[in-house]
Amino acid sequence: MRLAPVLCVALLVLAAVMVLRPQVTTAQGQFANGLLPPAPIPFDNPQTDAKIRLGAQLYFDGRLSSDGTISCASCHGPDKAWADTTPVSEGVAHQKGARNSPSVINAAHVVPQFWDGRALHLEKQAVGPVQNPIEMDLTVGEIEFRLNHIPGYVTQFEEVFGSRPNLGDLAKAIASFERTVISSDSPYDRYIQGDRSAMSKSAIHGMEVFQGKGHCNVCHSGPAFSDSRFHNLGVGCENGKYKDVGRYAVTKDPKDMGAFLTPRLRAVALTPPYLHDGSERTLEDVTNLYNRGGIPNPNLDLAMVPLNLSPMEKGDLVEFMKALTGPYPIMEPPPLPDPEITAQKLREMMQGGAE
Amino acid sequence: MKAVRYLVLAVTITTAVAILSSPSQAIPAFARKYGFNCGMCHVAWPKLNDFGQKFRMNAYQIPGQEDLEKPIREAYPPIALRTMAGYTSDSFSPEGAESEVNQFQVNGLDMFAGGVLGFNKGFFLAYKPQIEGGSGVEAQTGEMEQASAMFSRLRSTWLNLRVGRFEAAYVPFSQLRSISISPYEVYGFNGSPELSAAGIRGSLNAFALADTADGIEITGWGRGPLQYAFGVVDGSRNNKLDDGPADFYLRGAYVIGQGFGQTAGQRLGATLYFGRARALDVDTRHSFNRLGFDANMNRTPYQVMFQYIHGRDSSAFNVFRPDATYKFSGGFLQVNHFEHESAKFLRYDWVNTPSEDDHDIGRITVGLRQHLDHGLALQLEYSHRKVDNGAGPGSDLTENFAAARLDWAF
Repeated sequence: MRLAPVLCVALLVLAAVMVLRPQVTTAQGQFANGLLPPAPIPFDNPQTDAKIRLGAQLYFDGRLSSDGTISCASCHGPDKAWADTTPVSEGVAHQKGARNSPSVINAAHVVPQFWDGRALHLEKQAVGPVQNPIEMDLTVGEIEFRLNHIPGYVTQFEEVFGSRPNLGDLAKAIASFERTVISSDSPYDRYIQGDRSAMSKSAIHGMEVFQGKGHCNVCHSGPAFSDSRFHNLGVGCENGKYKDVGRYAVTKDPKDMGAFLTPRLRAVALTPPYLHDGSERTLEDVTNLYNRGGIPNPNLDLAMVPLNLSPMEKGDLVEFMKALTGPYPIMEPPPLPDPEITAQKLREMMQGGAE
Repeated sequence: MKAVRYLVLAVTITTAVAILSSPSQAIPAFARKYGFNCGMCHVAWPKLNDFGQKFRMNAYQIPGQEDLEKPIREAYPPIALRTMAGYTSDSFSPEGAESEVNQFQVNGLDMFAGGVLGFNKGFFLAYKPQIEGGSGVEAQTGEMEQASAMFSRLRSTWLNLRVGRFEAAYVPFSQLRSISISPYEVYGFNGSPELSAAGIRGSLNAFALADTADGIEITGWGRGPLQYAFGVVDGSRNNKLDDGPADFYLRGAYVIGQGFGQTAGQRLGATLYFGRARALDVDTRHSFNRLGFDANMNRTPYQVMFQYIHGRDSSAFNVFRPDATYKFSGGFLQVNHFEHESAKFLRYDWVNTPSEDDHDIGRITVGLRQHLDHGLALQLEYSHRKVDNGAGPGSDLTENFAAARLDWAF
């Protein structure tokens, strides 16, 4: 080796180092994320202020549960980033469900709804928990009876829908309200719009991991960071047996056994614990689960492979997920109509044969 | 003075590694299509990781997302280019045995195209245009290196079909996607004449595992630990004129632990290749075979790759002893360290030829591959190769190869 060429190589390399800067660009491929567009609004349920106000009242109204203790907000509270802080939430009579309460934030951006996707839209989702015996435990008849015996609701339903209260319009009102629970303008959003100081260096590297070595955006794709599909991570599967069959309960297709909807990731840092059963306490725990390649089971998603992430990469990935947190609506429960008409009274009225 | 040169290089390398830490890119045709970066499929491009290997075996579709794939008519034009340029020093002893190189060079050009033609139907092309060698340009023979169509999941992931010219599964550690410039000796070895100071070798069989093959390959994999491949090919391109159809090979692999065995899980594999080719008596084809065992052990951030191959060529190929089969063995042991967009590697290659041939090969290679940015990597590599000449001490052919190159694709 002669010295001159070696020096030339050294200079070339150093020049390249000085000139080249990491340039992080927004991914534009089919699995890319991006800015959150306006939430889609169904043609048959346009947003109106009055409907949203009505939906908010219904959302916070415990009288829509059999014993008057549980409202939508009980498990999806605005003070808990519109989710719950426990692995599974308590319903009426302190019964516990089997699945973690997902946040309502940006729920309008993803179809279908529920961990197993059994409801296609928010309108279908909203009537599920009300009738679930573990959650709010009312029948359709009881729901409509109660709403029709709260004069304030009768007036509002007639104003908004032109008809007396019924289950379908209840769902529309709650769905309209939930469509206002949107979070965007996160550091990530500002970053991809050109504000290079919006995300930390760690988060920027985490985004690279997210789109690369971690291959997170294979499933957490699109502006809401969910592909609206179902994947099996092996969570809840022991010795080949599933505690929760997941999507299979809806489709009866064996390939859906143990598969659950890809959760949205915006504001995810605010909504621990994680996964469909709330079994992972922190984002770090979730990252470790993925880094191991999930939990082996006969139906493990084919995209699940060990990631070999270093501790730094895992930390950066968590930082990126934290950077997906933007401002979101925080509100106090609105005044409810006719609060003196309690759930107990409504039950007695129904048992007494009131019309 | 020599110490100063190495010091300069060492400082440069250290500085570069310390300063640089940024993302890199895969075959850009795929990266552009999906909006991914290189780490999605590559542990250090061009070497595939578990996900990338699954992607390749799934007809260039994301496993489990096949119905979402955009075929080429809807996606970005699936074309990419890759080249390397930098300084190369290649010296030989005894001097004059080969043409020495001490210069800045552009080292080749690869043109890629790959994508999805339709549901579970993919393709991949790799073309090397002919480049005339000259001052500062390394010569390149024009060739269609790969051109294969793939049909995945004919029933399930256990039945996938690849047709055309491809890097066959009998090469468990891809030569084409190796992180080193120096080749795997045993994959490239054949006993046929090597025009060098080391003289003629003892087998007329020009078959080499490293070549891409023309034919059909069936592969299978699943969520469990087993993987298999079966193929019928024409032999390697080196011996294509002398060979004929219907060489075939079998490969099985078992992965211990979680992972696909590429960069996660501990993979053990065995490969058997049966071939027939013509020797001096051109009317008859004579048999040869290769039996290989391999292990790929992964423990982040380290990877240990081991390959052993035993080769047997019919006596009709044997130059020195026509009454005896020509047998050789060889392999390599490579240790990789992957961390933060960099790959460091150390490898020992060996090939043992029969005593009457006695052109044993030994090579030790060390290198660093640092990814600088999207589609840009710095490769620093040194390799020392020795070929026995069988004529006693001092007669061996030695080669010292060193390169500092930028490798980029777009």
